[in-house]
Amino acid sequence: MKKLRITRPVILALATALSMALMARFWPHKITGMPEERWNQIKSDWHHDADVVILGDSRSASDLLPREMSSTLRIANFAFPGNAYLDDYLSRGLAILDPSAKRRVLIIGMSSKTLTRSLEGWPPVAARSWSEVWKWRHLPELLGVFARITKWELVNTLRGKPELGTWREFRADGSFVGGAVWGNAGMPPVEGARSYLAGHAIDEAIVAELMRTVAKARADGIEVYGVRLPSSTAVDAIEEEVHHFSEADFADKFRGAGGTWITVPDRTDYQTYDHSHLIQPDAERFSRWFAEQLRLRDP
Amino acid sequence: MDFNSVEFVGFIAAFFLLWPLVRKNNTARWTYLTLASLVFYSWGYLRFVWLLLLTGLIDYLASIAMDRYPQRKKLFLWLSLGSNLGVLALFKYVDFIIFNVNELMHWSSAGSEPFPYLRLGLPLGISFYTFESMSYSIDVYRGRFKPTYNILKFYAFLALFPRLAAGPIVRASTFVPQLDRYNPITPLKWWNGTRLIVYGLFKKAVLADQVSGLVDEAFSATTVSGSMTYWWFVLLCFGVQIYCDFSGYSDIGRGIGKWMGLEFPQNFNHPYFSETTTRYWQRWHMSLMAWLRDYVYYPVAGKDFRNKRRANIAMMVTLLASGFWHGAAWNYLMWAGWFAAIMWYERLTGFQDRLIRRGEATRFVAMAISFVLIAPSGIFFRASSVTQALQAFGRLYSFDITSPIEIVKGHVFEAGAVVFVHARSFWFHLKIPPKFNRMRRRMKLYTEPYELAALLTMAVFLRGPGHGFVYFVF
Repeated sequence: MKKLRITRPVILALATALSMALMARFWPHKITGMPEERWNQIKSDWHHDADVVILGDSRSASDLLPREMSSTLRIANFAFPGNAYLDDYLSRGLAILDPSAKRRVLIIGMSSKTLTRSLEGWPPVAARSWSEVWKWRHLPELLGVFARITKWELVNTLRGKPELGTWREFRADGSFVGGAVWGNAGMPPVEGARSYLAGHAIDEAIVAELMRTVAKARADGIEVYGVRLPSSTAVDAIEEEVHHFSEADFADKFRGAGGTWITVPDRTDYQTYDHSHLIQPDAERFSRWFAEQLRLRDP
Repeated sequence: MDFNSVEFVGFIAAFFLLWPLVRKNNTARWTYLTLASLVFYSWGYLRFVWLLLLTGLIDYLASIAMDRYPQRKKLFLWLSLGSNLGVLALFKYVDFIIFNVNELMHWSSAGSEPFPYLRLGLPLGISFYTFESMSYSIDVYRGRFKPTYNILKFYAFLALFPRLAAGPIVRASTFVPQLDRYNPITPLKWWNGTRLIVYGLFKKAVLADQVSGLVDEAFSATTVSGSMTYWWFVLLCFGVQIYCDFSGYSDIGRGIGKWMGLEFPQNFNHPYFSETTTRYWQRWHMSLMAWLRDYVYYPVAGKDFRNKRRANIAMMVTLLASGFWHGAAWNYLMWAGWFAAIMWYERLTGFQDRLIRRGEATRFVAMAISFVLIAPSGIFFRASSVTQALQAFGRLYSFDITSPIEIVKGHVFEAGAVVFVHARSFWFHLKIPPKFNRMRRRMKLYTEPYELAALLTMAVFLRGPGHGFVYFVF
């Protein structure tokens, strides 16, 4: 018994090391690319180093891919999942534009949720301690090995369908590409989106602050473009029904503030994998089309 | 610094690397514990370290003065209590008072400008360390123990990092003597500590953080929606979140304490399987409840235990103090009020007590009744405002019923966590035959290392997206 008590810690250490190594090596469905925390950290460090800045929530992050938009301009996708156009976010976004750039462009990606107060602060920067920043700056590979596995990946794998679910690849330019294989179950129901939006009304103060930012940027000689990013017809309908979001009215306000509104001619031409985010080929196609509208693409 | 962060892993590794060099010499040990605790506290709360040191210094000096000048010890006790309660009031309650004064002025149409908020921020663990500090002064006043004249030993007690941020709240008279000498660590103690740490990490990272998403989503909406079934499910998930979050923290703290040779009191004992609300309070946040019992309930209730009127008043005052301890907001007072109501109901009817006496099966019926009565209190605890609490409470009894199967289908993991936590508590309360228990314990000797390895791996890879510990804000 005494011997067992002494050997138990050794067994524990070996078993832990082995199970962690197996998890890290063979887990079938880990998020690809860099871990999201590292992605947040890279973006939070940006300052005065871009010609073009993309703002918005996860739709902007996944549907406007810098590498498809231009190979000569420095494009920073500063959009974050779940984001809203809060004051501190807008000012941080503007600070990324290089004041000495020949052409400075600000892209405002719209979904009605970005105009709600669903966030109390801006999470990627709020409450980040120096050690949090340091570790993701200096130990990204090591920490990446221990990146967490989402519960959907776990549930799907336990159900014997390791290929089923969503995936995301986070890129250093601030965007991510994603996709999903939903199998026979089909896409998830949109009712979750309805109840979420129903709980968060559009805040006119956020709209007003956004318009003030557009006007100020225009006054500073920055080109400002706005676009309502494509989503499924069902989500479009929910935004209009629950949030009473009218693209035409919003575009008028946007133009009134001095910005240029880009209307997507056929929103149903793009396919989403979860009602909100475009599948990778369509996100790439959309990014190229959008860059052409802004004449960002290389000659 | 969170216990479930990479930073803390580095901190604890560095701490135990040097620990063998200092642990046998009293002064070296106290100095080391104090310095390490200050580094721990400074990590995200550097601007409040002075407050911890200052309130501690006042209590240290007041306690020595009580010892030196016993004829004036009441004066020094009030000085100590006044400074602690003053600090709590300033940092925790002033903005709440300003808010209420402004609201009153608004209602009465006084027309004057509202008072500006101080927004001083809430120092980490302020409610915990001020209560410990007060217990030190009160115990010295009552003559339970002699105060230490060594300031390093005092700070090693007050700021000890494994329990600094969120308890357990230790009693000075029982804990300070543990610091007098180094208690050697046996392999068994080390193993028990490791088990607590791994269980705690699993509870926090896998169970609490995984269900937190659903709870946060439900309570982040500015207008409450959702069916009755959905809100009961949210309540069950919140119960799991708060229990696993807080008891996970306590377990990790107790485990680290064991690695140092120190014993902290148990803070939770399967509270959701309590037969009555009184028993629930004997199993939930036990260290706070013991503190309130000794320093609030008993002094108010007096020595005559047959005086029911006074006992009821003492219960109300204790619950009110508990509500205020948790936070400066009306919803915490409503939370305390809810408990007062159900405890009164239980005292008046004695229904659950009769069920307990009747037999084993009816004991579980009493547990179920208590759970149904206690669970809605979570609404008041979690809501961000009174309006939201009342709206959500209304949804609980709206009879707008949707299929629970559909809800569970959409939240498989959360449902699994709820079942797992309650099944474990149920197992704990089952009366297992001693023969089977002996066999289980023997088998555990061989299987436990693999069980802990699996839990630790899950705590790393299957951790949820949650952030800090819930009780850090109290």
